[in-house]
Amino acid sequence: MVSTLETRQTVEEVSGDYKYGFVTDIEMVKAPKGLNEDVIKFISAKKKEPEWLLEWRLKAYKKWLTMEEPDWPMLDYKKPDFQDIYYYAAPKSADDRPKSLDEVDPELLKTYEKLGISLQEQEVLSGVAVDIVFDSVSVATTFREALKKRGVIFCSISEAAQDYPELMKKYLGSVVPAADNFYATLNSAVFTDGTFVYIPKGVRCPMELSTYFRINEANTGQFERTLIIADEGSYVSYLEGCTAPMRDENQLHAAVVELIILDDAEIKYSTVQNWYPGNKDGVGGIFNFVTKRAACRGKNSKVSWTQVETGSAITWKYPSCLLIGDGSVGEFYSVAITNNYQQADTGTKMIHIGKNTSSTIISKGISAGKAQNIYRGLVKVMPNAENTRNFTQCDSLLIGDECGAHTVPYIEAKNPTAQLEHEATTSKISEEQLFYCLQRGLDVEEAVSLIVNGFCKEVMMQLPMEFAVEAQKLLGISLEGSVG
Amino acid sequence: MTEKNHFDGRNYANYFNAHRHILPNAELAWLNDVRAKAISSFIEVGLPGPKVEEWKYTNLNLLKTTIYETSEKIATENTDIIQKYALEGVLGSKVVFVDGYFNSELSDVQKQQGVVLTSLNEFISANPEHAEQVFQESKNQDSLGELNTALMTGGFVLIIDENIKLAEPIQIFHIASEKSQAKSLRLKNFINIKSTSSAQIIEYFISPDNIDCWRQNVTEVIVGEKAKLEIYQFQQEGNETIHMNQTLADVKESGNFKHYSLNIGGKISRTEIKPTINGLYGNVDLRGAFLGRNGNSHDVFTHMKHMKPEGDSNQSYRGVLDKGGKSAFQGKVYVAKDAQLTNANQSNKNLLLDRGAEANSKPELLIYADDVKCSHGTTVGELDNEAIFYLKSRGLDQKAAKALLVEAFVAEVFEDIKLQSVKSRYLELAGSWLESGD
Repeated sequence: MVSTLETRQTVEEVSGDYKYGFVTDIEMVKAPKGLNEDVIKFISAKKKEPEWLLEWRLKAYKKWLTMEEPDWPMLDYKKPDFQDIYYYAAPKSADDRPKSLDEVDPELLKTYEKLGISLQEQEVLSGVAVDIVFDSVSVATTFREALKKRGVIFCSISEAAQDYPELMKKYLGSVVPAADNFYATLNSAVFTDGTFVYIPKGVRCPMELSTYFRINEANTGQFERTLIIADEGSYVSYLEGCTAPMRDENQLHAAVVELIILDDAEIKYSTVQNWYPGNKDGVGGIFNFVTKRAACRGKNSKVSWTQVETGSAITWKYPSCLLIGDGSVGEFYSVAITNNYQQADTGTKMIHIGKNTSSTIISKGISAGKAQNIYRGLVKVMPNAENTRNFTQCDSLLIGDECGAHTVPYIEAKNPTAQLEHEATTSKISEEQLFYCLQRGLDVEEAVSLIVNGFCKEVMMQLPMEFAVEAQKLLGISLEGSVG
Repeated sequence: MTEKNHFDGRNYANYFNAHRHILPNAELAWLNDVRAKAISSFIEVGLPGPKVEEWKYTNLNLLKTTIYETSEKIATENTDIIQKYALEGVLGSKVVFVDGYFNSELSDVQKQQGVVLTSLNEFISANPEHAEQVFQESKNQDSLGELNTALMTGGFVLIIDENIKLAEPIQIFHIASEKSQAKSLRLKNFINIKSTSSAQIIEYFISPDNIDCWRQNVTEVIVGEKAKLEIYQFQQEGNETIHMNQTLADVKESGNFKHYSLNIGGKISRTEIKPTINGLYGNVDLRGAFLGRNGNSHDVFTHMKHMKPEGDSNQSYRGVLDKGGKSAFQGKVYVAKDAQLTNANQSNKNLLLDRGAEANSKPELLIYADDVKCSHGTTVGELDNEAIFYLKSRGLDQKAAKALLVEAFVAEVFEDIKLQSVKSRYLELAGSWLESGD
């Protein structure tokens, strides 16, 4: 790949005699458009990364050049032009942001209101430049201190690369290798920031961790990288995203999440994804191509993925569990709602490797408008995985006759002691249910929201309190305009 | 990075060019064209590799380099074999193919007004125009179908005029002899049941052990309005046989198509059934079982398409895998946007009896209509120890207890068969399969 003239010039401008032909200019806010080795060096230098991490990125980049974008998902989208993307942009300065809520898109504000988000929070979410962000700074500081006392490391991945190189070296890319798949490899080469969490032995993390409180790192950009390590006997619950709609200029989001769970530890990972889904005619919207994987390496370790996917024009992700340790447990609870022209190809992979491992998959797909919703999942039992148990249920609900709901499960068993069950149904909202709600005085949209919430209840119950209430409202909002 | 890069089509192209003149009815120019077109489409796409989703679980690498030569017609040798396999009390016509060619001595084709039952080669030479039209309308759906058309040596044609109900089932025997070593046996069959008519077909696939041959049958079926067709298949191939059997069915308004199969033999066994409901109220029922051990690899692939409203389809497959047995069930239900009020069910249950057994299942739903009821279920597990214990406490030994449970497990899919002799043959075979194990 030939670097563009613009790139070369910019890089030449900032480069000196440094080993990589490069000096960092901290003032520069944007890397030039396009992707090449110099851009990666730029990102790495900007993040003051150790040399090994740069090497790692470059190796990933070289691999990525040889890879082809996969076309097996049932998704219809224009493949991104990777030379037409900015791979690094510093967070917006206060001058660029809206000065007050009056400058924010009124439709966005309407949604905030429906979700019951406080005015102050609305300001933060829509990126209004406020000098002191009400209480959350102090809240965050208090949180950080409480965590520190218990030895929990909770910081940005760039900080971790500098402060905890041993942990980073040991675990980064150990679950999702740098050459894993097209988008994960791209992420490995260019990830800009993300979260690093380490829970020491025997510590039960005293609070639910969320990027929301890591306010100094609010803008993590489009290539996010998360690495969470739960050491022996520890527990952590991690929340990703928030119910409020998120606008972003970047169309392509390719994140990688790696979880490592050692003996008797547990990670609960909850996601509410509400990126901009594009308008009613399917114009715009985020491509959300994510690789999420958990390795249950320890005995009796446990991971639980819960996701509520309502946003993005295209969602393409399969949070997976490698059940390596004996007696490890993997869980996957998912609600995916697609409306208008949204498309979602999502599901999970449960790879049973150790003995006495078990997994549960509950997936609820709701498709409305002209949307396509696909569940794709794999349950694989390796020859030595004695006494594996799996239960899978995936239900789809269709609203309107122009959408599609698809189920593509793979069940592969190589051990005779395995007990695997899979069931799936596809149906629509029954006329009787709807009629009953209407005659009780609900309007059609309220009725649909009520029925959909009932349909998703098993999954919603898994959400932490912080999310649960808002997520319920979110389901209703996501389906607005799909009936009547 | 497509698979076809690794596939050298020249082998097949050369082979075809060298042998096209000795294929049946080679003197017919149009048939020659049909074959030539088919071979070039085949070479263009190549053999499906493991990266092709539909062939994920069955590896055809050995076909890339080895050419199985087209089989040759042999004189009748073993006349007892038909007696051995034919079902007692089934009085309809018997059609026998030996090594891919129709055998008139062993066959017993009964004449009936309004019913055409003949070998494909005879049909082509007797009615070339009609045959040409049939081939024009035929649509191969994949590269292996093209290969079949290019190199077929025969097949059968069954056409039943309107309003005729065949009283007795037709039995069709596909026999491979010892001489089929390293040969390919390719048949193309056409079945057309016109409105309000009905027929039953029983097919047997038999080859000797230790004979490495490649059988490839493609059957195109039309089930007319209110017509009814039932196909019962017994696949009892030898341990070295590659068995491929594809059935494409076009089901018209209120048509009823049933397909039952039992797969026991073969080193690679692939049963493909692709019915399409093209009229209102179509009804399709696909059921079967596959029993595998010691290098058997069974692959059942269904693609059920609902194109019109108010159709019903049902799929139910059971797999039993013992040591060294491998299976894949890949079922697909497609419901088009117009096919409202469709009911589609899919079920696949697998039993793993021992270590070294493998079961794969991929029941897929693709649904574009909202007012439908579709479901699928899959299970994989072992025999219930308590049930075995119960039977043992009643005086059965371990093996007999297992056999009884497996038989009951398999029996469920064959429960509704009305032809008693067919049903008991299915159960007999399933029972004896288990007893023949170690």
